[in-house]
Amino acid sequence: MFGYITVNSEGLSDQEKARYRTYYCGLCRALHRKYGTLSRLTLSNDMTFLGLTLSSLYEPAELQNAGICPVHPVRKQAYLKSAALDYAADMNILLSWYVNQDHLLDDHSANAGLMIRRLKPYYTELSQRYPDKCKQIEVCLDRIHVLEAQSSVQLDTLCHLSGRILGEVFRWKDDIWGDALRCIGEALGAFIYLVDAMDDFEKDQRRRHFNPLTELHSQPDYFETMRQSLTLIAAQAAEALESLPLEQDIGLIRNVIYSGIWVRYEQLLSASQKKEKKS
Amino acid sequence: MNGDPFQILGVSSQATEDEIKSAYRKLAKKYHPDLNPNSPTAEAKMKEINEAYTEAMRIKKGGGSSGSWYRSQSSDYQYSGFNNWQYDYRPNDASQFQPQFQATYDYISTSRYYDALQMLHQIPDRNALWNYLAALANMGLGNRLTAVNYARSAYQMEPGNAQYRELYEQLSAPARSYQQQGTHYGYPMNSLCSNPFISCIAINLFCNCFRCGRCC
Repeated sequence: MFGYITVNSEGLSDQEKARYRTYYCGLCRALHRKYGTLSRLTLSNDMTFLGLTLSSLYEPAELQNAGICPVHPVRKQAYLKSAALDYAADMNILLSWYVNQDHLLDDHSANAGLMIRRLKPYYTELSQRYPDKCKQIEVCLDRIHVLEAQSSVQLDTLCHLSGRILGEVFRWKDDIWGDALRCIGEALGAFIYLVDAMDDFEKDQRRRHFNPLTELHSQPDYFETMRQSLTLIAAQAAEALESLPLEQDIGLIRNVIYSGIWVRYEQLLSASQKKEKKS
Repeated sequence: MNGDPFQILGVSSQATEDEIKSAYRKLAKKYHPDLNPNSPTAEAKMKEINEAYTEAMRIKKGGGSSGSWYRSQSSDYQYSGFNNWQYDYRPNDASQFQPQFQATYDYISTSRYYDALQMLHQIPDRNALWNYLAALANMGLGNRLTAVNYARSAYQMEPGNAQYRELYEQLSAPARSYQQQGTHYGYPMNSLCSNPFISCIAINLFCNCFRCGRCC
């Protein structure tokens, strides 16, 4: 998956970092428990944030434990177990399935093929458990594929469709918080789509693949335009987030929404500035 | 919901958003269905405080929220984006009004945004007014990112035009309040390259697993 929805560790206390780790490891454990060891490879920061936000909002019963794992064979790592993280694990697998399908379609990647074979039974199970979500996601993905195949640069539409996918993922339950959660997901999905398009730009140029930013990239204020667009999208996520009654881990959650999501953008910006200096 | 939402939550109407959230949390813990299984009273109470919370936050925000950014772009593009506009967006510099601009404006004011864009595409001279109208038409279609970019171009081409400035400021207002709020939580950032959480973000899936060992 993408992993752009992450924390900016510089703004965090040691305690907060440790707390984030219990979610990250908790999601990894949930993946292992529900979907086998290989599923751990799909672990993402994006879905860690989902688990974190849902835990803060719904405050489900949390079990904290510590243990060793293949990655930490000696030192015990603290991790959480909760219904919110279990749901995040489901969504992690579901999104990985779609992302790998995409990779297989785009570059016939062998890794993606392997993952697809591995994830197939889990996808079948999840598509029965979340039929509406899967249907919505697939409708959006199909439309994105059609637009991208036509090399259509309808940036708003592409962002909108990608947003709807994550909107479905964020809306855990159909209750009074469902709309705000969906709204956060929609904004973050659009955000991810744009940052991913920035990230892949050079690769896409080399391979002559479609990239929705081709036109914007040739303009002198490309990074500034992108920052403006991303800021507008992030503002929606923040507004929806601030409307929710979140207290637990609010420092971590705000770190992600106001700072962590910008990490990749800033890296791309400074890489491009360095390149400019050289040439 | 019956009664004053602030009273139900046990806070004054002057309470901050954080105080409202905190009061809600305390009550929600008390009446949580997990702690009160099969209790219709607790269930009713929970419903009441949920509604009180939503209402109190709505009042604090000055009534109504701008809602979802992307929901405004309906799948069939029939959205009319001008319902909430509070100022006259009719261009006031009539001297620039070529017939094609007039036609574009007429389409926009009757919510025929696609026709407006088609008309704009036929105009070779892409001046500030052109960008302004393109911003309005895209706004009507729910293409907010595109709309803001055009609004910015119009403003940059003619910084002295109050109307262009107003449109650009209105469209980019959410971004400004986000940035302002973000300064408390680490936006904008400096020296990010040392951020270990995403040091190997783009490498490959395998990294995801081992990243845990190194940094988080």
